[in-house]
Amino acid sequence: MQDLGPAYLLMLRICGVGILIDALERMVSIAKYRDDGSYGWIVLRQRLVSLPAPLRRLGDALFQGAGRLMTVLAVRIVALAFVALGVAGSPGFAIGLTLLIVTQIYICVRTGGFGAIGADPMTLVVCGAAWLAIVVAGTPLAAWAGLWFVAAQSCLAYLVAGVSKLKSPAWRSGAAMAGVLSTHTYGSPRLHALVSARPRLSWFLCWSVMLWEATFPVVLVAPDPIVLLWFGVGVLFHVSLAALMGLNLFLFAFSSTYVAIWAVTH
Amino acid sequence: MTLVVLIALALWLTASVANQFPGPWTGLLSGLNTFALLPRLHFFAPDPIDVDYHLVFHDFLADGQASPWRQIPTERNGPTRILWSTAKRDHQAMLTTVAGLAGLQQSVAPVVRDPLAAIQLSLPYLFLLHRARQAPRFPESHERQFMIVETTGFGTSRQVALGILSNPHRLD
Repeated sequence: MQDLGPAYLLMLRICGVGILIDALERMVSIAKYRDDGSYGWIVLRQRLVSLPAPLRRLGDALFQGAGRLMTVLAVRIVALAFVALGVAGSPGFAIGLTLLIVTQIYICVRTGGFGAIGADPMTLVVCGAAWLAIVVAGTPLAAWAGLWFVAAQSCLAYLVAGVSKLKSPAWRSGAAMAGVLSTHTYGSPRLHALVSARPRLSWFLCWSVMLWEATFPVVLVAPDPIVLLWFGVGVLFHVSLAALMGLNLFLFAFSSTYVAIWAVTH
Repeated sequence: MTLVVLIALALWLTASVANQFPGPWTGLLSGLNTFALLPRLHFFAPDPIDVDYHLVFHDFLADGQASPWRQIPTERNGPTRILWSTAKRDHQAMLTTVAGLAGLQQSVAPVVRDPLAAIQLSLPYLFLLHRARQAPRFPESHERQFMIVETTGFGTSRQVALGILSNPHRLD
């Protein structure tokens, strides 16, 4: 069985760019996590009210204020450096990867799902699979299974996204693209005007996205040129979403899974 | 240990597949989603996000008069958002909150004795109330009411609709 360590390192480094950006974005926005900010613990702790008092006190001790989160984010950046610059399986790599998972779960619980985006679970899929395969098991079979797991999660995500769009009348008619682009949050006046005036362009864009997503699992069996084409479209797709909608972390979380797909199919 | 890891990965993948479809397992899996273990990625489907949500508020003054409605500013990232986007989580939080309140209104409120309390004590409602309360107040303000406004389109073709209107809440 081939040495899969380099594949894991490349996957984690690509995913790590997103982890670094996310940590820095949260750090500069730390005021939002103070008690007078949008994600103040004073409000988010309300979901703990039905828990026993000792658990509520533990929650407060772990999550109160913004200072603890700031420390966790700093730890996350240091842990990322150990992973990205280390050797797969080394003690520094193992500690760093463990800390990346623990800190990600901390952030998820702290924010209670408010502001959670689809790149978060995919980041945990990549780091969690690497941790289980390399740090916990450390065997070639587990390493191979970990990459297959990431590849399967990636294909599942795109397949589900494509099929759910294919079931939607708004996507099939092409109206969805004009609809999304009509918002300030995810669209722009110029692009909205462009696709609204050209329904066939809107229809073409909708069907391109749907078909590419729904057929993404072909990368597991297709010849290399097709696989590279599908990956190229994927990177272009995520770059477009990042440029237009600010969904920058998807680019790194999802394109890192392409490394796993390539590794298990070659 | 290899066997344990293989079983863990298989269970995680199975749960991820199950998480894409509603069923009796949904409640069980929601616990795992507290830790963002399970992707549910529909990427703007089946219903594309074709509205913007705006949180606005006004105050009731001591003499009973109401102040004009004001909007809580929404952060927007410029061209650098391809790499740096601090606003995306706020946009997502607003979508989650509105979807959460709509779900409560449709599925919980009809089956509880006090639907108003169920909504007003829910985390999505408290999240919005907390945000609305952080905005500066007039010295004589003593109650605040917030509203979610839905908009779509740009310029003269922009359409506006009322989404959610809260009760007035004391500011003390």
